[in-house]
Amino acid sequence: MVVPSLKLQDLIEEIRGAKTQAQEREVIQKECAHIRASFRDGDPLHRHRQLAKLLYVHMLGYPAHFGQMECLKLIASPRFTDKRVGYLGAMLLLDERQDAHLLITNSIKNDLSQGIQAVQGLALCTLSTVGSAEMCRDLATEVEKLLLQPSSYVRKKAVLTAVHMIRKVPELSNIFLPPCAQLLHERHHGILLGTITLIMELCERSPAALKHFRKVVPQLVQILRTLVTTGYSVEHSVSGVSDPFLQVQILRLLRILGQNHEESSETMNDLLAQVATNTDTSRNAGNAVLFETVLTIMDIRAAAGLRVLAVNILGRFLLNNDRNIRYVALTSLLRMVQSDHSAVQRHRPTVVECLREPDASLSRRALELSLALVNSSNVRAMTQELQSFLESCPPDLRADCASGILLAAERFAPTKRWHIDTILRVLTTAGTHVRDDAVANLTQLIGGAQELHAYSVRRLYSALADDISQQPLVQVAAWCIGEYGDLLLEGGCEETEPLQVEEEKVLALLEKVLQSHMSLPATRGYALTALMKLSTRLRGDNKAAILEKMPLVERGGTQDEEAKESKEAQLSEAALVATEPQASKLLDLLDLLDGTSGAAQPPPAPEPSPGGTLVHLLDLPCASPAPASIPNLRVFEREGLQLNLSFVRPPGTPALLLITVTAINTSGADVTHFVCQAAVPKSFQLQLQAPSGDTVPAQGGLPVTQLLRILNPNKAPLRLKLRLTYNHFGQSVQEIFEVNNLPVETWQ
Amino acid sequence: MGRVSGEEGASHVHCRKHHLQVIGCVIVFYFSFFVFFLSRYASLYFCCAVENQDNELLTLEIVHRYVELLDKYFGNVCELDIIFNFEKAYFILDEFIMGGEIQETSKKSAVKAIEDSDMLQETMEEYMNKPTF
Repeated sequence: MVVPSLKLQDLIEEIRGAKTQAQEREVIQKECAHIRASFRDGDPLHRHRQLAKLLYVHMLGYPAHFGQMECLKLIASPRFTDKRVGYLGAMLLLDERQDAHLLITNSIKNDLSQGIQAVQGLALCTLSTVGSAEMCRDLATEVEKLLLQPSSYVRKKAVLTAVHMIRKVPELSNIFLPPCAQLLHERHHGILLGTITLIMELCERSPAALKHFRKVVPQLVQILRTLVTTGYSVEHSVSGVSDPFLQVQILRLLRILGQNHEESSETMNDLLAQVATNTDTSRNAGNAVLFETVLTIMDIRAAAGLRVLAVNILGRFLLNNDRNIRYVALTSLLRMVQSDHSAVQRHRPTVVECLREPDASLSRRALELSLALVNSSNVRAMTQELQSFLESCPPDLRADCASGILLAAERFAPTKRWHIDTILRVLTTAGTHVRDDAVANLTQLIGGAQELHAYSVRRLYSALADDISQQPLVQVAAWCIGEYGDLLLEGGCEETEPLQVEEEKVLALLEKVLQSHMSLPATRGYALTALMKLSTRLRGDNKAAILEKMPLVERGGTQDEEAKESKEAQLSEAALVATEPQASKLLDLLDLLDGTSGAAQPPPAPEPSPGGTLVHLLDLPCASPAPASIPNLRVFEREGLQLNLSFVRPPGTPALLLITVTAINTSGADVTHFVCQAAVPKSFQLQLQAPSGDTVPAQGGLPVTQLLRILNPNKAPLRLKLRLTYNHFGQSVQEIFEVNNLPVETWQ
Repeated sequence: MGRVSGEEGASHVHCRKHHLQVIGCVIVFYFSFFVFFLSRYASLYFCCAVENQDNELLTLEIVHRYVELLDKYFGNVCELDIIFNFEKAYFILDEFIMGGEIQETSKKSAVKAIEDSDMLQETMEEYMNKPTF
């Protein structure tokens, strides 16, 4: 006894009645089982119903592949109901990836040639939706015949099927190009629309076709003109615009034909002006046509006046209430801003207004366009607007906005002072979002503007005092204070308010930066360097207390000063280094120093420091007792390469000795591949930090420094052996020697 | 525009029960090679994918025209009409758009074509005034 199958609507109700996913799945699985059984049993009467149910279930995302063959059977049936749902099934389930796809070709062929136009329509629709290349080749001539059918219903579908066929098999253009001329005379809008689409496809695929169809530009112009000037038509008007779909399509084709072609462009000039001025803009349909007109004007060789008209239309779009219209306007204006700059400039105020859009995609477009509109005459006003935008804009736009402002400032800055102010403001507002080169650019800018040094340093000092978190700003400020600190303390500067700044405050601020957990290593470097510079440039008493508080950062910073001073003072000094007479005995570094070598000479009394006037931070004369400063030692010299040692005993750790090895090269040739190794007696612990480099540049260039940390818990006498290897004057050099004359303070 | 069919698979304009994303009015998503529209009419959501070079504003008109066709056919269309007559929604679409291009710009002609087909269906059925499927 066959249970009557569920009607489609009943199934839908049952599925909708399911309260959970699981329940729905159950209902569907049960029904699918019935459907499969029905397919197996081959019930022709209800096949269409079963497939309809299957298609509904497929739409919900459940598998329906087992219905594929049923589609074929239904398509082949003589009943229209069967065909209708069968073809729908084919379109949903039988795309060209499926094996059974090709099997529908024969049915389509039969249906194309039989007389009922609804059936022909179904076949054409399926062909144009899922037709494979092979199918298209097979059936091209059938479709070509249908282009001449008396029924306009069939003709319009045949034309669009031809469009699909050409997309799949471009060679079929040969078949479908000739009928176009005739089809353009159609009065039926649907056929006309399809024909224009067909011509567009033909032109896009073949330059020869493009050339051929330029002939029809006058005809197209006429068709469009008729449309535009026709009054209200019940059938085709949308919001007072005659068939906007057809108008837009004609405009698109005109665009393709008029591109790079003076003559065609000229032919359509008046018409475009007419459409642009006469189209009703109160509703979206009119705006759609206008928009297409603008796009066409932009792409063809339009007269200047027409281009201005297009830009003005876009400008009006910007004022429209509808967000979508504003969006397409901004996008299009961005495309035109290079080619029609002055025309777009006229709408600058409106564009700037759009920066305030709450919608992120709109404000982004507005930002891009605003940046493109900055020029030398509006740079002040625009920068002002962009700066206030920067303050409130969404985070993902900040980086673009900041770099845009900086770029614009660089290109169009009216004065240097304005430029500095602008960059300063950007760094204050959005410091974390600027690119890395902003710091370098600003320091270079300030450095080059001598007349603004005082102004810059004061402004930067104030900014830094307010906020030490924005790294680029802090870096520039630190650099500036280091360079021009003397100007900062001098007092008045006409361009800013009088600011009494004391040394202490400046140093305290830099120290704050140094110690802040927000400061990046690079920032600390800047602060440290600034402090170094200030220590030479500031006069007056330098409280040791301030200097003490600073933690000893192991950096090359201290070495700059040292090297400079020692370079100046060394030239007349006798070399202190004496190569060990018993060098052979000491070739093995590791063998050298052990605890029992008390036989070694006691270290000589420390000699006066060679770099006597070296300004070392811890050497500064001060009132209160400071940790004793240990004089430096020149330990090596050969052909212009000099090696100096400087010593520090940090007060908190008595067993620790820090030695900084500095290699400086006064000769005419670079020293390369420079490596310095050290050895100490076994009771000591030695740690070598990585050197600052391996090339000691000639002519007293930047020295190479290296830090040695030596732990001497037993306070044993220090002995130190050094081994140097390097290339100099084309020769490789190796030197091994023990350091003599180590001051007793280094280990006592 | 409209459908992406053939080897990309058919993705028609329809109301898919699990597909809906709750959006406000018309929102536009730009992908690399097509633009995705979402339109809301009361409780009905329509989504549509078009190519980059298609006129965005016209796409809004196209969606609107489709809704009007549904409305004219069903008479004051609502969500349930489309759910219980989903195959009709497809048939109506097939009279408006074919192979991704507009085929008929007259509302009257489009609806008449569907009604004619319906008549063809009905006369072939043995039972009148009963749901076909």
